[in-house]
Amino acid sequence: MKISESSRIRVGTSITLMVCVYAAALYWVYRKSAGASDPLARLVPLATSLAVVPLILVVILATLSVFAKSLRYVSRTRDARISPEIRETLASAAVGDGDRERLRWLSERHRRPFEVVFTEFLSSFGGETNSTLRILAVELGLAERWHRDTRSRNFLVQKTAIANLGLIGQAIDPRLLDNPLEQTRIEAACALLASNCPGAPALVFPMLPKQSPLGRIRLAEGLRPFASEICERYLADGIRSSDIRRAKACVDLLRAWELWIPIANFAQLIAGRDLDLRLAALPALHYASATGDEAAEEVFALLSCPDERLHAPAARAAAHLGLAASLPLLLDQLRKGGPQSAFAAAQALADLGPEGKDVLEREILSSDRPQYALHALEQSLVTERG
Amino acid sequence: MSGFYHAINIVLDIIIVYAFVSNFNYFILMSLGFFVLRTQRTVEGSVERDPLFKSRRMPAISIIAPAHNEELSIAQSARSMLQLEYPSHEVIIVSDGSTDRTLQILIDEFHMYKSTRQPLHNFSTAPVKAVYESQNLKLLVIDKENGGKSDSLNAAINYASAPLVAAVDSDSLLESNSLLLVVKPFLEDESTIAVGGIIRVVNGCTVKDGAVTQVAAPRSLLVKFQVVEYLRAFLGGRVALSYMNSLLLISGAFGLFRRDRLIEAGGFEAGSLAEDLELVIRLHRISREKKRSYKIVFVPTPVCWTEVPDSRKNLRVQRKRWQRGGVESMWKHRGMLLNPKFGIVGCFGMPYLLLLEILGPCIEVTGYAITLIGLLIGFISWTSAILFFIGSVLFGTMISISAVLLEEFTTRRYAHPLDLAALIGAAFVENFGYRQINAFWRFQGIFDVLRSKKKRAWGKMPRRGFTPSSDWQPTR
Repeated sequence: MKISESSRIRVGTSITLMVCVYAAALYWVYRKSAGASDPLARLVPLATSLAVVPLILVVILATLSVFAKSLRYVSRTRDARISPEIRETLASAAVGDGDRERLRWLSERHRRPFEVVFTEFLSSFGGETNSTLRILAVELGLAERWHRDTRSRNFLVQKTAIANLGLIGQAIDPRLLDNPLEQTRIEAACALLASNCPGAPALVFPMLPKQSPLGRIRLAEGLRPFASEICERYLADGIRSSDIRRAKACVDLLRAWELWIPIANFAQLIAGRDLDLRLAALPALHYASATGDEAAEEVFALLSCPDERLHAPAARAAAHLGLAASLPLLLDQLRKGGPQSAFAAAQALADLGPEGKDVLEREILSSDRPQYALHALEQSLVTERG
Repeated sequence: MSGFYHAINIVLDIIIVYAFVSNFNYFILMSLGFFVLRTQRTVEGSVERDPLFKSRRMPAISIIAPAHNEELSIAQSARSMLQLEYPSHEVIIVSDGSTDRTLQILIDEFHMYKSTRQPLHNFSTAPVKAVYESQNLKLLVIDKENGGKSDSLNAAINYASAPLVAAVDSDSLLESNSLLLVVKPFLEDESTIAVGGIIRVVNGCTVKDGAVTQVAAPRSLLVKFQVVEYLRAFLGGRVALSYMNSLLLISGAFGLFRRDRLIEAGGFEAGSLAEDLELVIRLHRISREKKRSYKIVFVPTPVCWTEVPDSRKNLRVQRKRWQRGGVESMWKHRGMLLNPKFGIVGCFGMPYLLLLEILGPCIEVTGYAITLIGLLIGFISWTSAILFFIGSVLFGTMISISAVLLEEFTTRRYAHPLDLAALIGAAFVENFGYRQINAFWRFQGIFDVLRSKKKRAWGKMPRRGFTPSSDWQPTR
């Protein structure tokens, strides 16, 4: 997990404070023992304080830890014993004929195992059962508790509460979307989307460019149910934006969803100046182009451009778009390109169907570098045979 | 004669100061590790894991695993690697001149055919005899002539096609979610070039179908000592060094690297005994020389389980090899030492490696010898002896127990309180005998370097192997 600036400050403060207290204690011991005549003898109390004092502290901590672990062990064993009953009672309640009083007692008396089983159920069941569980969460006071926990200073408690609220479709405080910690922000955004709160996509979508790739991956999955709304309202504008980060975030969404969403002039992105954006847009070309021919010119230009980094993704794009006209360019890449470009070109030719395979076969017989063609055909044969 | 005794006493005083300073340094790093781990504490619930596992935007990973005569565990390890929870990964196993049934087991078990696949890079390695691909799994096996571990890793990199490369020991077991966790720093910060996961001791744990199902402390005291050592090294040292971006070692058993940076750096150094250490130092060196913003990170959540030596003989061989490797890497990159051009790596990381990890055993062994002889002959005062004892043994005990507590306060993998008690006991006992023997072995390792003893390409340790399974089915 990336360490935020505030965490860094907290770590720095804690360690400085600890060293200062330790140094002060040492100095105090040294001053107290300064009376000894032998300089070496003066060091013994100093050494003792340096080593023995923390050792005693650590031994006390160790003893307490073993004690605490024993308590946790007992509690876990108890949880494991009660969990089947919780599961059974909850299952009955979820289908509408359970003992609500018993369920309430279990949720109050065995809070931890109850929450674990409850969230397990929420993630596993959809439809009517899920709706009943959502109602139960409110009835049993879980929703209220989780709402309270979203204000917790303990990051883990806060994160879990937000995720749980998302599971029961409860709206969360939109201010959490501005939390300095990315994990909390993302969790809040996902919970907000899951709650079906009106306007949630409009609130979450603008967050995309500012998040790390990890955050974007999670948001893309959270936004997936709203794909058509996002595409209609925001995506085309985002992709055409002059802000590279915004455009890249939109391309990332397309690639994550793998949905065919024709966007006018998408191919212009791969002809742009920013290399990262071009590399990101190439694999999304076949999702965003209405027809293969629409992007053909741009792909051909990349296949013959001097920057070899673009050759392999361009070859793959040509194969995805089914651009039969790219055969001569791919053959050229197979013959003259570096290992990665040649490998990609051979694969692309194999993917282009019988015409491409014919080219590969001729290449095996005539070329002085037949190995990539041979491997591509071999792979294709293995795939065909299943 | 009194001048000689005086000189010996001065040497002992220096050693005492060293013992205190080095232990104090460990203590600070351990404390820093604690505070960092507290802030990083995170739970990977299914709510968070599922979208990552489903996403098509996760970068592909090539797992590269060199193997040399691993017939006992290779099938289980390969299964375990193929079953990892990750949307897109391929496994490349290199049989480095194996003379046992390693290759045949893989071919039979995974229905592999001889492939014409070509390398994508051109690191020079020992000749590749054949490449095998699985018909329905993303598994590639390279059969090559013996060239050592680094050579095998380089051969695997030649065939790796993913942007991230995970170097893994074929006799280790990765936890099912380890790839999803180890890849996170790359996705959180695009300047990350390498990430290491934690290595934990599998001896004593229950392994079923290539996965650790129950974590328990081992029965053997020797192995318990090593558990404590691993906890101390990873949760204490590496967390703190990673926080300061001066992490110099990503264990060869489990590390994830950006392929382009690996290739730029020239891959693993052939013939090196500590190829993992040497590579990470080289990555620091290149990144600093090119004035790039970069991060080399350790994360304590992705776990790689490894079998450690359970006999003194094997442990001695392993420790001597590690020490020799450390000395070689240090010598090769000595130009970085205290060189401000290399920032915190040159001014803290490298001196830390030299003084504490490389020279530490020499100083410790010398201290023990002088104290013992001095006390017997009577030219060393009891006060000095007590000071040395406090500095090296009591402080060491405190640090070892702290390492076990660090595990308990953060990751809590050992479920039973008796396991915790056993490890705390081992952390105490290891300072009376084991630590001294270990220091002596490492001292011997340095001595071997000075005598230019012939290198061995594979530091093989006899393995017992993991329990074989019968009901495994490929997931994809």
